Amino acid sequence: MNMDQAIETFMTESAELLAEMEHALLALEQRPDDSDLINAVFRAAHTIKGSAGLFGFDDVVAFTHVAESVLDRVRDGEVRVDDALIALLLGCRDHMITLIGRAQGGDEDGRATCIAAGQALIQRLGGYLDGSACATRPAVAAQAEQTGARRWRVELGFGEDMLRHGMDPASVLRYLAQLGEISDVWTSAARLPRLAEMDAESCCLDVTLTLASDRPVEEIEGAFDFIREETTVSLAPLDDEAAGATPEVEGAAPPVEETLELAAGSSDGAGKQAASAARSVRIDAAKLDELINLVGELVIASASSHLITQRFDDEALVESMSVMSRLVEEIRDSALRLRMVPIGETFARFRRVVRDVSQDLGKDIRLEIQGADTELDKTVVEKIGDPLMHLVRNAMDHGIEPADRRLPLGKPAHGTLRLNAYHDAGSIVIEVADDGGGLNRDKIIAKAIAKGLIAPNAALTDQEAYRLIFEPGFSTADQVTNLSGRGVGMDVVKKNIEALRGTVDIDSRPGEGTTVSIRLPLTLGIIDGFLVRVSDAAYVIPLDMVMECIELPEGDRAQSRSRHYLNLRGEVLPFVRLRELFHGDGRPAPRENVVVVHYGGHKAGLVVDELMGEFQTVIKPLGKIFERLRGVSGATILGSGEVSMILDVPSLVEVAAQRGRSRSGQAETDTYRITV
Amino acid sequence: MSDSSIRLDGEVTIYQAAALRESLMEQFALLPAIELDLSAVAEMDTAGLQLVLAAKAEALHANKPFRVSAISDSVRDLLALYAIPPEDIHLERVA
Repeated sequence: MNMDQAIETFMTESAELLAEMEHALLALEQRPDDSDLINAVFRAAHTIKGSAGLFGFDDVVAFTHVAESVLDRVRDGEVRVDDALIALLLGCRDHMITLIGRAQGGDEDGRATCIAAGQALIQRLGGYLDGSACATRPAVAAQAEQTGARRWRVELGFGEDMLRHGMDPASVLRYLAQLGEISDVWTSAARLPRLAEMDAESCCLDVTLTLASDRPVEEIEGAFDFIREETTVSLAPLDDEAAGATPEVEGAAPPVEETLELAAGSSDGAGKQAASAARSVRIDAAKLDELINLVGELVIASASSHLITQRFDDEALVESMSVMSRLVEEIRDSALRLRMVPIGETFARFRRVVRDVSQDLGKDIRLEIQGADTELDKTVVEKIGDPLMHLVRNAMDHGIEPADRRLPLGKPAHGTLRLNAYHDAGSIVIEVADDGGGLNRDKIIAKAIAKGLIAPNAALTDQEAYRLIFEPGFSTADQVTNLSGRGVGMDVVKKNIEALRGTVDIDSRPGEGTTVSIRLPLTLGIIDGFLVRVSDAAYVIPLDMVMECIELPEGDRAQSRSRHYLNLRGEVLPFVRLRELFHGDGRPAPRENVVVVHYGGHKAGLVVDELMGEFQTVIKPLGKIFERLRGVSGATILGSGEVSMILDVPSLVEVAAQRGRSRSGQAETDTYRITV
Repeated sequence: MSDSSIRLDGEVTIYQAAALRESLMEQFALLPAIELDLSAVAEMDTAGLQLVLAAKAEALHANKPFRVSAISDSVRDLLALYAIPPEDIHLERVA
């Protein structure tokens, strides 16, 4: 661990702690007496203060200390939790984010404003203190004198690489001095080699000291969090009743925790921490991406080997190759699963947004979260936050009506915003639903005509009409729709989601509310594909969207020259001839097959020449010049080295649906063409 | 200030440690007695402290007189933190 990595770990952990803190504060609004929640908030602040001290981020330490003092009084029942305090603490939490961000950046711009903001908060926090605890650091040292302070013998054998990794043992000592009173320090340079043989960057000091502190063992132990890997730490109580029975354990981290547990008997938190640390490992996301890229190459290589194998009539070879293919498939799935994270964390962030925005708007809006466990690729999660934010804000701002308009309609005074996620056909569906007034179809159409987006006589389904709000140039101007944003066009939302190979759809019922559904692929890298051949080119259809394959019946073949649907067990199935679409060649192959695909509740048939079976597909993005290409979403490399196009099923389903509809006499040219 | 005084200034930390060790080695070869002037050290970390301790040990080995003529506040803080008494590094007067 070098310094940058240690700081990065601190940043990540602080972000997590601050998220937990926010979560607990919001929950406290409902249950102000829940001591677990109060402790969670306190712990978060305390841990951040401790770690920040280790890195010498003094601004963070000084500010957090005041907040922590207030929280300490809350914990002791001296200060009651009310809305004002929660609002203040939320403000403090936000300020801590700023401070931690600045601690790393180190730019001087805006420092004054930042300090002023901090001072204002500290002043308000002071109202909850007697004034005595407002003094920052000396208070901590003084605590050691109080009753309850215990004395610990601390022995530290600093690891050779510690300095090289950017950790200065001096910081550890300084931090310990904040936890209590240090005495009897003895520094040994016995390990220090001669100047001539010395590596000046190696750390060769050992320190023993006595620490008198009333802090719980977990906190003292926390001082060693960042140096565990390389430093020998021994911590033993000096005058504790348990001292005699405690074996002195030396070694790296885990033994320390054992000692602590035996000695104090109160460290169930530490025990849990150790257990969870053993179950999970933090990995650099870049390493995961590299692994997944390699697995992608492995998949391509294995496909190519598979192809070569077929040239030889060797049963054993084929057998062994098929075992290997299966293993490669499993590795691919496990590798992709490594990067899957539950969406709950992303959803939880919106609790605060909903709380703050509903206060700003003077509306009472509750957030309901469903399907928080639904998993999706981390790379997708990272990019979905902004579009979701727009949708959530829009729904609260313009979707949900004020209470005085809701009550006469027989609706509850408080509005409800629902975030929901579930898996469906190899995609994840994320819904943002409100119980507001719904979209006004007539106004949308009037506006679209005025903007020249559709012909005046266009006949649109409700769905198509609602989707107009995602068109560029629509939205915002005046409050035409319930969803017009504050300068944020819904078209941007749509564009962002399409960039992730996803789609967005909207459903609305007048007076009942609006639901926006985002449909995203579970992963961006590798999919199971179904390989088909049309003329001399191979195409890949994402396997999750394939329902079945049938041969195009002779009767339908004859008629299908003029119409674009067939009868599938009594159901009307619109279809598209890929040969017509991509090759402009109307002459059909001697035999034709139909691949029945589904997407977003619609079915369609894709007519191809030949079915070639399943194929593991590594998606290679298309270059910029192919961006506007319809019907194709990406490319892949086949085992033979041939390039094959991945079909964009959602847009093909749409094309088929339109052609199918045109049979009922609706002129296609009048239909507003939407490719979502 | 005698001619044999080695004056360290600015930062004496892990970042300079390797280079400082080299130059200390050179000085050791040239000088009959070692005197460190640490009054202009703006920042010293544990790596810097180790160098001072190693220099003292080296002088002892080579039978050369060793002393620290003066220290800055930053050095004093660090010595206090590690509870290294000034006489340990043959600091005779406090700067």
